[in-house]
Amino acid sequence: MENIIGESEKNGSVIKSRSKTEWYLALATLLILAVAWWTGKENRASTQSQKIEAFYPDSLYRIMPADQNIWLLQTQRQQDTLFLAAGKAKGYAGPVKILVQYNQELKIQQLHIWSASETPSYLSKVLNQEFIQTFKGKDYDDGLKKLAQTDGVTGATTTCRAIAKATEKASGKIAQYTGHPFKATRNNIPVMGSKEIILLLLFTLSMITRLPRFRYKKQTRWLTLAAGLILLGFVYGQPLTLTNINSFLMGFWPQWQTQLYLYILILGMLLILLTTGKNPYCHHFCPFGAFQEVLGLLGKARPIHLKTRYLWIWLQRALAWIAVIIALLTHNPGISDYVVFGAAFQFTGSNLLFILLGLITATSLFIKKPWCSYLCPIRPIIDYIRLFRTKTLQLWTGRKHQQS
Amino acid sequence: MDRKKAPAKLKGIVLHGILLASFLLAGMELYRNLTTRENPQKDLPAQKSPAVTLKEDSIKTESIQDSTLWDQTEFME
Repeated sequence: MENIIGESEKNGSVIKSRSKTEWYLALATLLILAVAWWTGKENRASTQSQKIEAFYPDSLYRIMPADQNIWLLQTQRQQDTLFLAAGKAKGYAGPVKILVQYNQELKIQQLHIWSASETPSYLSKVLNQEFIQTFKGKDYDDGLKKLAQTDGVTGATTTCRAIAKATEKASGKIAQYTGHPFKATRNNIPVMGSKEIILLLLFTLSMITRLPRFRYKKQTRWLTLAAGLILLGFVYGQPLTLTNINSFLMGFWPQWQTQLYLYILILGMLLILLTTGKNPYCHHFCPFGAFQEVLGLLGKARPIHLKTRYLWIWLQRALAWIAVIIALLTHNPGISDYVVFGAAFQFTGSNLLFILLGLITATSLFIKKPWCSYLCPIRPIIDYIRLFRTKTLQLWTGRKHQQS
Repeated sequence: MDRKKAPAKLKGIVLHGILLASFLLAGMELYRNLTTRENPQKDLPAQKSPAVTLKEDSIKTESIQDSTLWDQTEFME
């Protein structure tokens, strides 16, 4: 009996000291995140001006600043002076800045991505499919924004739309500078569409299943999982990614009129997490979570209880932390995303991501949700927020709250 | 007893191997993204720039690095 009491006291003190260490680490992480954010912001401003010379080297071109974000460009062979204008628009992860070269008649000659924070595999997809080439030869007032609808790349619509919009903005500037008439395309995108309504419905259903007296918990959960997999995953291709979280952290808040879905997803999740301590997204309608659950059902997967579980959880946290820090330092939300959602639902990603997806898919048949348990960067972030919630509640009420 | 333990041990080794491989792949993806970030257009065919030598003193060269015309605040709209 004494042995049992001694053992339990020992375990209690280990848990207490572990929890204390976690709290100090969480505070240190917060500090490092703030430093990384600030450093990244400063770096970004200093490197931006250098890039224009990468496109137009001093040895070949003479560039003369003419107005805000407008330059005159001269080469020896082309005696005429060309125009350069820069435009910016909000993309999927952050701002997309475009540098457009016009000839004397204001026809587009060249388009450069000055800087972009999009997920690299999606940006490569847009660049490889030569979407940018469609702008060449177009007049400055040729309804450029509509090109994103007619010639846009499937699965990277937001990036294409941002490129087109930024080009149109650059055209507006050059038209103003040269005294040409210009009429910007009107934005007719609906604010509240079907995907926003479905998302709200999924949030509501996930909350209903939490009600103690609700009888059809299991069935409703499978319904939300199926809707998450099919609609949020395959149809809309918009699961929550690390890029989304990085974007919000860096203040690259997308235009709410066109990206209302993201606002509902992130703010809705945060609201429920902070008020109830529950995570409605991962458990109820994360498309990749649902994908693994379906595979697990087929292969009769079981949860695993590794002795080294704690080590793997810390590795998961460390990888997520490194990814966020890299994004903040480079001031680029999409740079450090290693999630396999794009490869799974949009068939977009690097070879490495497809191999990782294959590995996870095969493992999901035997082990219950391996990605969620050991690799997903969203889970450590949710745990991190939850830790602060618990600590705040402890301070507020003076009582010990159990982490849910 | 040993015969029962052996498959469990093997299973553990395989699982650890899979997890390690997954972490390595995720890390490699992170590294790959970092190394390609500076030039997203590098995979595209090189743009044809006219190879020219400039007439000296034809126009005054002003470095973009020195200019303050790239107004950051303009992008805050």
